[in-house]
Amino acid sequence: MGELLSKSNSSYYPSFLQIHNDVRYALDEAQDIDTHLRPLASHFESMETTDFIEAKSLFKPMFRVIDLLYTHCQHYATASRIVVLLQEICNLIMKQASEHLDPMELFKGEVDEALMKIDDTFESLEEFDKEYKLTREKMNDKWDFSPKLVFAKWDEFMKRMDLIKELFSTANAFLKLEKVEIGGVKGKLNRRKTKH
Amino acid sequence: MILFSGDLIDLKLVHAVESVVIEWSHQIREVLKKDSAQPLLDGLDPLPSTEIEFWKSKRAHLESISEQVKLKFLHQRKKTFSI
Repeated sequence: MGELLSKSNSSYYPSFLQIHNDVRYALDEAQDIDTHLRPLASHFESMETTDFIEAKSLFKPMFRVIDLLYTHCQHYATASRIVVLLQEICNLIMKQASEHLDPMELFKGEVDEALMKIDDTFESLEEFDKEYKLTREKMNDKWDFSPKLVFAKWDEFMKRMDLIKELFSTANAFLKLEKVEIGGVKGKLNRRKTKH
Repeated sequence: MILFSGDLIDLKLVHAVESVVIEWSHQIREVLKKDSAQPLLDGLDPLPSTEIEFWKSKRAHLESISEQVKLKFLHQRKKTFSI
């Protein structure tokens, strides 16, 4: 077919060649990326199936594989590509954290238990943040994109996490107050005041 | 039929091939321009498995396109010679 177009001096021949080259380039790219992304699949799967508290230990090996991916996969070593993957990973972490902090469970149970659960979740989230920063440091000028590109949603999520923590800490403080006995000369009066 | 640099060429066939090439170009361009960032741009919350699936399927599509393009050229040329 190419020969036919070429021999008849067809004006479509150059575009035919162009598309041929584009397909070959895109195929090389897709094969390269697909091959290098595959090892990550099992990391994401185990993150989805592991309890969020225990997922903490999964972050380091995952970032190690991402580091290898970035270093060895020629077609993936651009900011625009890695930013997509990192955003999606943040989505996964946020999803796992939200599922772990099921609102029904939080509000129905004891406040101090809820607080403990919130603290555990924070610990995992902070671990993720730490591992990300370590990887980024290692990449130094190679990952020179703005963190906002990756963490816009994450930052909002963390703000909400802070709010939830504050809410439960406040509730906890007030509940403690209920049990407080105030002594002294004006004890009885003050005790009555705190109850209202 | 006209004679072109020593070969007999059917102009009708050339036109037919040209229109097929145009159609294919459009179809192939559609596949080529697919971007894995699209779900993010659409404001969805895709998970990393989306990225893995995207490249797996893009690879499969391109392998099949590349295979078809090669095969069709061969078939077409066989037919041309047998006319």
